Amino acid sequence: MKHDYPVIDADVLIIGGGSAGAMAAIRAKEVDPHQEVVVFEKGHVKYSGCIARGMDALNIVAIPGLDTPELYVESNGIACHGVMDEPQALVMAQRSFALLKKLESWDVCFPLDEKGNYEVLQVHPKGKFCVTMKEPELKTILAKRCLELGVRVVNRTMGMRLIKNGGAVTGAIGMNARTGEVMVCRAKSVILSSGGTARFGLPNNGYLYGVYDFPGNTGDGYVMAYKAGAELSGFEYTCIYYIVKDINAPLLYITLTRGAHLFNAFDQAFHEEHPGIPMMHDEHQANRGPMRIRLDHLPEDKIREVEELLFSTERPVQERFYEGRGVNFRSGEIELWPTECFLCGGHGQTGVRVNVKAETTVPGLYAAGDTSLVARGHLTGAFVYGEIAAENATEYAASKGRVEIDHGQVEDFIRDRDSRLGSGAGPIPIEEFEYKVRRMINDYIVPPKNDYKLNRALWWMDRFRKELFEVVKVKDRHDLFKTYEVENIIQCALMSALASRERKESRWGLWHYRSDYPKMDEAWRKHIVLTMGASPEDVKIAHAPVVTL
Amino acid sequence: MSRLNLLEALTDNIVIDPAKCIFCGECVEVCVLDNLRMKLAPCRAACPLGVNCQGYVQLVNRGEDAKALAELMKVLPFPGTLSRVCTAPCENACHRKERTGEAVSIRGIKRYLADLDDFIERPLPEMAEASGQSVAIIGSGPAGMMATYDLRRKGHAVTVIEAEREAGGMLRWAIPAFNLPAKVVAAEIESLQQMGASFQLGTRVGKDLTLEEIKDRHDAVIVAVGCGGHLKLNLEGEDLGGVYHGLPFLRDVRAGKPPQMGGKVVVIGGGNAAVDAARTALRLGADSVTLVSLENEDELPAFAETVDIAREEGVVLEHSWGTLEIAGKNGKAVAVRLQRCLCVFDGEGKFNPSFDACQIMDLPADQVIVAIGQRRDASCLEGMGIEPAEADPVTKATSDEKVFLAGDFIGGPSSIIEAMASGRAAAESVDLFLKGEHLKYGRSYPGPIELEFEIDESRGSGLSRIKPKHKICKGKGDFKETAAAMTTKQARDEASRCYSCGSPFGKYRTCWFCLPCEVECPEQALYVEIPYLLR
Repeated sequence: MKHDYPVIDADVLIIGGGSAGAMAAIRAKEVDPHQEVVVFEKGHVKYSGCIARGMDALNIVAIPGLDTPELYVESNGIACHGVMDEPQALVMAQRSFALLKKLESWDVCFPLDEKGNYEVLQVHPKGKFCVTMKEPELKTILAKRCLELGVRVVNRTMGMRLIKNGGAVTGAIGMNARTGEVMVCRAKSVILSSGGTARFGLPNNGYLYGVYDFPGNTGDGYVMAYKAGAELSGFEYTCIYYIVKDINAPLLYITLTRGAHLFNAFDQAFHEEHPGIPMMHDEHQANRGPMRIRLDHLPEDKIREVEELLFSTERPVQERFYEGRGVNFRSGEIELWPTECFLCGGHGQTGVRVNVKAETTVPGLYAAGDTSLVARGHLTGAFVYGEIAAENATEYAASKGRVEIDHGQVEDFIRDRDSRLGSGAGPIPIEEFEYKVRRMINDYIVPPKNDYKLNRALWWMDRFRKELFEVVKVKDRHDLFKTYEVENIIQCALMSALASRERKESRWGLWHYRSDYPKMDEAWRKHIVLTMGASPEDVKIAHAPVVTL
Repeated sequence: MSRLNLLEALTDNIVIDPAKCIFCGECVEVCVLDNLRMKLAPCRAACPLGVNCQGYVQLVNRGEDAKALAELMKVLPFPGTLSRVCTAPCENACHRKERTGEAVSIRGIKRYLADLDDFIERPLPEMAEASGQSVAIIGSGPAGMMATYDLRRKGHAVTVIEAEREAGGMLRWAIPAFNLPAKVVAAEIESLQQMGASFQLGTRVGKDLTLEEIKDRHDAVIVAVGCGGHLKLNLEGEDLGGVYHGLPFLRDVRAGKPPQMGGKVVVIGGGNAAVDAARTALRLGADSVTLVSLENEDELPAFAETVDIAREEGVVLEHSWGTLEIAGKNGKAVAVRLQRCLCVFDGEGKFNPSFDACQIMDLPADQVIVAIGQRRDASCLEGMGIEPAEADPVTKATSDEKVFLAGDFIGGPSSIIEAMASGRAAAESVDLFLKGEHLKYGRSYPGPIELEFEIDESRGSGLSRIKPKHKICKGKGDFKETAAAMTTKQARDEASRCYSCGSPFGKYRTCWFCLPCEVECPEQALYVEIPYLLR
């Protein structure tokens, strides 16, 4: 049976309208105003992604005359323990200052000091690259530009599968998250920018969405790329931040760079050295946690400066959090704890492998932002590689004639969707199921890892993959959409367990700490690369060298 | 509401200030993680156009009339008309009616807003840039008017083709001026002209112009010619002198050519058109008017309030009678013979009246007006291979991709607001068609709403429904509007009766406290608490 569904055409389709996706859409229209640019956005583009209320810093900017892109590559290489492809990092840093100036031309606020200099903070082992930004409207600025330039945004549409024809990607299937309806985009090129896997481990607060990174990110981009044949890497880099307890909101560098003091539970001070998250994890793991931040020694104007930033930008909800806890920065202290575990290209090193042109290993497929692996690129990485992906996807699209959709692949998806609606009569609500999946991720994938635990993770994920269709209740379209999200979380957990088991060493501090291989081994200074075999659960593992300049 | 999963057992961290919220749904629309849903007030759920009745009623309650009018006008561009002649399904669904028997007078509050001074100089709505495409709309009644409004807003050129010499369809040519003054309809039409719609009047499709010719000149066509024909009893005596039929009778009156009325007038029918005809007959000089209906008083399709006014004006109602024949003498009607109707509907609820042939009544009559319903005239589609009934229920599309249908023409007589909703649906389809987009995608979705929820009844005041004193007909020739608008105090008091049933809420507990819902709320009525687990 041939179903009736809309097919829209695009030169460049962008899946995910967050930081990277919105920037990619803008750039694609700048490069060629006449081309059709479509964005599939799971939420609503005006605020979607990690920067709903903006961002307090552009994390990586090589300001001419201050520090160089080359120093950034060296510095980030240290932070990545050597597993970082240098050309990608260099290109990002080289374009970072132009990016800042571009954002500034859009009225994005970068505060200047009395001498007219940007406020630059040191958050890397070497060099000062983090520039203070104070722009709650950052995302709305991007969204507005998208619409003004004629980008077609399809909100509430989750990217489900990439469509391939003759080995190249020629479009994608989207599903309306509210109605379950299918929309197909026939596209000459596709950019994946749908974030990492923020809903991975279960946060200590017990609230499924009470996570550090944007919880709409459920590894959709990773899984779509993987199923299309692209290479993934860094799934063993199971990132855990160390930030404000319970709310899991960031504040570390805003406070430390303004003179805050950092103590462990025994009042030992750590603010003299350049303190980082790995050190705090070490203290916590050694049972000398939790760590605490104190600002009560700071002058009032400094405290106000901190408050003004924290309570206006990125996660302004923190203000009511501290009020609720009775914490006043003038007298109280801020307790820090480990966050949940998550997978992310921007904060960590998990992602679709791309080259300096943002190309994946599949023709016509590009990746940017947290979906791609430009190690620890943060917001700068999302913006710069959004632009790079757009430029190269545009060039690729211009070289293609009309592309064709294999409607059989759409029909396969519709059959899958309809079978979930028809068979999902089990007793378990999808939310309860997700809770258990993520609890097992906590038990078996969150470090410290060992072979036994990782094998148990694999056993559980295999079981969850089946249970998703056997015990879960799908009572409406909302549940249907959640089954796809949770299926992606399970797939990411499977890949994370396999990659973690493969890397028989410990690296990146807590993030890949294996109690059965506690030492870092230089033989493992390489990438673990995952590709799909005969089926999604058939994960092929290979190793690839780190690319150096 | 029962808990459906472990998350819904958590407390909702979305706090709504009911004294500020206008129930516009902006927060629900913008919620990135799709956590929010709108508990849709029964009045709004019942409105074919989805007008935010709760919102404008609450704004009137708060004394914010200009905002209330703006909220109303977001969806409803013709408040002057609908505040007078809408069937008000909102009131029928009003929870206050269910609890106390007396709905909030939502239509009356709408009338209050429509009469506001600053509404007279209504501003033009925002319109898209010209698309370069043109649409012909055949028929300028409620469906055609709404389609015209929406398509002009989308930037398409619109030509309205109307058989009569003035636009407005039934609003202009059937509804009596004492219910809907001509100047109100004229103002609504004028607003469409100001938006750039052109009206080709006095052009009957099928006679002066064929549909094929119209198709050739335009990129799409909407046929919205309504149900201008009338039903007959098909009984002996129906062709006698002094026997009239509802729609042609009302039309002749609106055209300034009323028939002579005097002596005893019997009107056959129980709908609004029959009541309108009866009240019109009184104003034309009838000595007495008797309205004979098949239905009993409770079953009458006509508005109860209108029936009350008719009775007050002197119309005598005879319920539960079926017509057997119209007796005549010298070619003129002299009486109507009736038999008792026992039941109008059968066990399955279908129209299938049963009678008691032993109970017969003869009503003397100098004039008889048969007002038992309308019928469709599909002659304009002749030769096109299109049947009215084939229109897609959602998109109003036909087998001819350029031709869409709208309003009563599709399925027979409905109500003005249903016809307008149908016109809006057809206009949306035309816009999608002209842009080359899929006609059905997303359109069967009722929206991010909840319909089953507990209603807090503590908010409504204890006042009784306010009924502004209507004007009394002063006799022959008095066609002045009878319904009166509420005073400001009356409107506030009436609005205070509203339970304010609906509200946005955090349904799924998937909040990331990212705050767009709070930022986008136009009334600062929403506050995001940190969920208790994190607090």
